[in-house]
Amino acid sequence: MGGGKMAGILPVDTRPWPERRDEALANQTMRTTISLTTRRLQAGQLKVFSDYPEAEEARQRAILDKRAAIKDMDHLLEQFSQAVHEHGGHVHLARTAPDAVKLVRAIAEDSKVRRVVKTKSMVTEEIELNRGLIEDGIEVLETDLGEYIIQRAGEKPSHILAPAAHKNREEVLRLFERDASQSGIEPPPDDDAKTLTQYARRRLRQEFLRADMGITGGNFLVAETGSVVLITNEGNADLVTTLPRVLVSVVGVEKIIADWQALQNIIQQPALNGVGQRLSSYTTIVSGPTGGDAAEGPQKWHVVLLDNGRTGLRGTEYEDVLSCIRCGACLNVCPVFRQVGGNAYGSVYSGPIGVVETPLLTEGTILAEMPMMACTMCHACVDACPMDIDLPAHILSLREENVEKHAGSFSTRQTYRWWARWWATPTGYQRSLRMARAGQRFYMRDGMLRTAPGLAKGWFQSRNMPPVAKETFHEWWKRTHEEGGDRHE
Amino acid sequence: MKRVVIAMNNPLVEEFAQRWATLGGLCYFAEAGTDPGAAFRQAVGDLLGEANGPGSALYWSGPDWDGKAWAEWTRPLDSVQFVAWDGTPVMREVAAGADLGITGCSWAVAATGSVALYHTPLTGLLPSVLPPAHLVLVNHKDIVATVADGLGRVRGNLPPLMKIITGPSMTADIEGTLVVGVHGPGRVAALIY
Repeated sequence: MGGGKMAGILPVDTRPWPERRDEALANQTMRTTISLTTRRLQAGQLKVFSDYPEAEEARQRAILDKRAAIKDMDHLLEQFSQAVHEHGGHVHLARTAPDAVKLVRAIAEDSKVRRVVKTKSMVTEEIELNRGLIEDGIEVLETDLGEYIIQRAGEKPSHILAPAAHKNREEVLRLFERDASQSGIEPPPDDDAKTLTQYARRRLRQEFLRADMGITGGNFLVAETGSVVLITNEGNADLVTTLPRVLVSVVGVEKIIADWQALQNIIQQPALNGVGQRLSSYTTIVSGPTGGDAAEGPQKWHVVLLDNGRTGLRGTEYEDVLSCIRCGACLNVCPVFRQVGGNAYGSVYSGPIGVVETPLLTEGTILAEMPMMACTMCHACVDACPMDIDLPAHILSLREENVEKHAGSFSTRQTYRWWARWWATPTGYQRSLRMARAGQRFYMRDGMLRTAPGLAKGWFQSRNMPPVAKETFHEWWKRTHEEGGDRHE
Repeated sequence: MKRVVIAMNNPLVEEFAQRWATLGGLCYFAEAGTDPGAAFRQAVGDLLGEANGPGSALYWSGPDWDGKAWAEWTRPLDSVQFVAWDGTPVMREVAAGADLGITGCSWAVAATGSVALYHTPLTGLLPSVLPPAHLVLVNHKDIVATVADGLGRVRGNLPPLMKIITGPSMTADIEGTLVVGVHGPGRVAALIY
């Protein structure tokens, strides 16, 4: 890409973490579904590898390919662009999210587009593409079932692979009933998952057939052949790439792989690690428009390559983050994610990869505190990651950076110094407990400490603590074993 | 799956059929020396439901599928209207209204139970995705061991659009419940010849 590196711009939920977290923890529907979904997907990943040794061999090769491709990105993106041009497509480079939105809006205006159908794409969530198109009076419909549901609800995806995991059947039925009355078609008769899915099929089928433009993301970009590879289970990517006359693929630059051989190594990894299948139901490979009056395929094909802070990670200790294939395996095993789900993270990228990638892409301008908040350092994510991205190490590094940047204030340093001095000796520790006991009755409610004065107050925002006992173990020991010389050997 | 071994005596065919069936696909075999029409009619009948229609099927087949016999094979299925894919724009509407899509495939993969389709004007992808059921005709010689082997065949022959199909269209987006037939077909069958 050359030139100066720029920080990316990502959407953010600006409410503080405790508020987002508490909202998530209070949502029982989400917690039940996320818990089931993450466990099912994790079990799937373990099982599919257990009787398929070729999958592990391919994974090892894919890691090497992907790391090498990130190093050679500039050259490979050039090669990719050239190959797409040779097939009659167009490639555009977008430095930042607003640049990408501007490009897609211009393409839509140029082709007089009124109706857009989309596949699920994290990148288009990242750049908030829909909002830009809707501002231009264009109708934009998500076609992945989960995305369609949350688009109806005006919400954000709660899991990379299961965007509507926080909605139950009754909620989906209500959304679809409203949708049906607005679009003048028959609503689903009941809230069975099958009935609801059939409704979405019927409703979206007419939209596929009359859409002018399809928008996809991309799982891989093959430099050698100029191909965009899409992986879905529903078949919506097949319709989005074959029915509308204009096709726009918005893909992060880090999705580049060198050649067809590399594709052979990596093509199964998203399904193997994401859902525990050897291959997803549909792997769609687009390498060019099909031309004028063909029955299917786009007349025009545009690829928008998005940087948005990605190239800034190259050459840093965080470079391996760019190998992420968005399989969601790290989300599925994360004990924090399993409790709070995706929306609590405040970014389109959630879970372990999200707490690392969101501040990194934006040079710490948003959600820089998440590595401190949403990680227990259990290391499950690095074990689950098919690309061997060292997420715990990155979380630690980001915490250190955070301490250097933000937590280095005078008052914070003084508090820690004061605390360290007291607790460095048994006498100091015991004295601090006696003082706490004397003062704690002002901060107790229902037998628990609920708050504390000064900087310690922040600690209690998300925690309670049992009060200091009337008699501590040390005091009891001293009374029963030391006083009067009654010591048991 | 025992029948497969007898039918084709070919480990790749056997593995493909097993994988395909695991994914929820139906499998039919037209053994050498037998009438492929019988297996074909069976497959079409099963996919369209017990009454064999009435229904409509949009079809194309590979060059090695015996097209001459097509009319003869399909004659007993007189309640089914067969339309040949011709690559014209009207095919979109035909595909959207069809009860069954019948296509050939460029290759199939034993390890994953997948079939690969290339778009050309006369081999469209829409019959495999728009109708609620898809029958794919698989020449047993086109079954390769791995996805990598299959992709290796694409070299120097890359179509503008291609797809690898592995089982029916499905989702688990509502409460994690598995549902087939979202945007693509919920019923899929392979006829191996």
